[in-house]
Amino acid sequence: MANETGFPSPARGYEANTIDLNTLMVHNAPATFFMRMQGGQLIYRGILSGDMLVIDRSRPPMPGCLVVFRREGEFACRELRREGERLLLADGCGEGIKIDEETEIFGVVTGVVRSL
Amino acid sequence: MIFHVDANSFYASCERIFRPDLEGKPIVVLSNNDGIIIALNDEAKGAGLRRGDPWFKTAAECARKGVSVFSSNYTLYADMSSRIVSVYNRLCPEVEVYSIDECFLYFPDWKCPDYPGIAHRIRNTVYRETGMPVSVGIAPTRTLAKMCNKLAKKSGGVFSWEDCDKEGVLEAYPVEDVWGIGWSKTKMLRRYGIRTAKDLRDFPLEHAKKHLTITGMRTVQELREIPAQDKEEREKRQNICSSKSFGEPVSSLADLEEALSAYTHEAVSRLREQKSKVKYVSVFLMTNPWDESGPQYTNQASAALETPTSWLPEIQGAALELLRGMYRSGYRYRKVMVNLLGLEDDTVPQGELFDSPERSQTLKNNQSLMECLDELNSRYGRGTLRLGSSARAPGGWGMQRRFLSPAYTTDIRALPEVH
Repeated sequence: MANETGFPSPARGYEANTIDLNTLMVHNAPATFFMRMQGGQLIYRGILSGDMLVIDRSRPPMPGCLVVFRREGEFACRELRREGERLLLADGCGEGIKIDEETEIFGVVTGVVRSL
Repeated sequence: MIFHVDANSFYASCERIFRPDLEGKPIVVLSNNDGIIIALNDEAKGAGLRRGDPWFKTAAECARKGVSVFSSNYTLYADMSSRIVSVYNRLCPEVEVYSIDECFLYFPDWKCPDYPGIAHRIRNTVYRETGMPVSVGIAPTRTLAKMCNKLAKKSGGVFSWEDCDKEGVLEAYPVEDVWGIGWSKTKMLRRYGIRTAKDLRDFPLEHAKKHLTITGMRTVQELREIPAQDKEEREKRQNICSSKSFGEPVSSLADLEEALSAYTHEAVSRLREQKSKVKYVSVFLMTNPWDESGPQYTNQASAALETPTSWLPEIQGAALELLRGMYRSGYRYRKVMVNLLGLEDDTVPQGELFDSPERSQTLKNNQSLMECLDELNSRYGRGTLRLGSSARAPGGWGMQRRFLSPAYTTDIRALPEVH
């Protein structure tokens, strides 16, 4: 135990941890995964190639969300969009992928991390 | 009520989650040093591969059949395991982690509970949040819960003892698949005409105690719906045994040595977990008694250690020495087993009264080295760090991990890519 000498620090009792970005980005740790964006398909949503995506598998996918899903043996990320009765996975150019039995959603993108 | 929750093909599933191209494809995972197949998914089983197959023998077959091969990535498995356990902890008040992919969940005995409903919810939640498929067995005892889990794997992921045809289930369940009934017990039980779990349940208790020891008697009680396995007691075992039967017979001493080293390491980890030290090491080696075409050889040997210890190199050295002494070439071995006997508490520093100061210091150093080993292995998964002698590389030292996948969830440089 360290000896305390002199006056106690006036900051005592006000100590705080350093800012932890996890508290901002990660809401459900066991369900949170990180992936790396490759390509510019989501530039219209402010996501650049090389950005780190924060993906929460426990967040229900709603229209307007960016979702990661499995497609042709790859992970892809698109915007979930409602078109009439149908749900589509669409990119900025309005090209949509129909959701069918084969589409498996991995999770919902809840954040982007980018160092400048 | 006790839920036994077990991940389906855990290692293979961990690999598949991050490889969207492998959905529905056969996957095998190799032991440390790429020695043998230690895990495989249903698709790989369907392709005719078996747990325990030596890699050098099956490599060509895997390539031909388009099987994806991975070196064991304990960093990834440990991370996925801890995610699953956190989900369990959120859904159940009492969680006992039994192994990297198995947990017991204890639920209070409510008045009109829908346990299968809860189990489905656990299953769905774990899958949704982590991507890991799990099965749930529900029963009033641990032994039955584990049995129900095996049945759940074949029937939609949840199997409840209370809702099944109990007699029919026990009758159809082979006795060797009952938890705690190993190969040698099965052989002995067959002599008494006991072939199914039902036969075992109806085995008189005093006979069970006589022929199967106290542990076997508890198994019988558990089959009668009487919880007999006390958690405390089970955790503080009198002896620790580690073995597996090989899927394919093994003939060379080098292969047996590798398997025995791995099992010894596992047993010593458990020894250290329960804070015990061991005095006697015994090794058991056998061919397949049901294989009538081949010559038979079974042997067992044990040795007393100088002083009780939990020092892996000493224990492993003794085990390998025993194996070399009893090994005979020209047989097809089915099983090698290590048994740690004569356990005692490891609370006081070990050493002899007349030990020299040098020896005492060595013992102290050994102790801290083993603690470091345990810490690393518990943090990153069993087998992360092991003795050089248990990582026999064909053609040199060092671990072979030629098919290691990236640490997708723990290394920021290894994240999966999204397109």
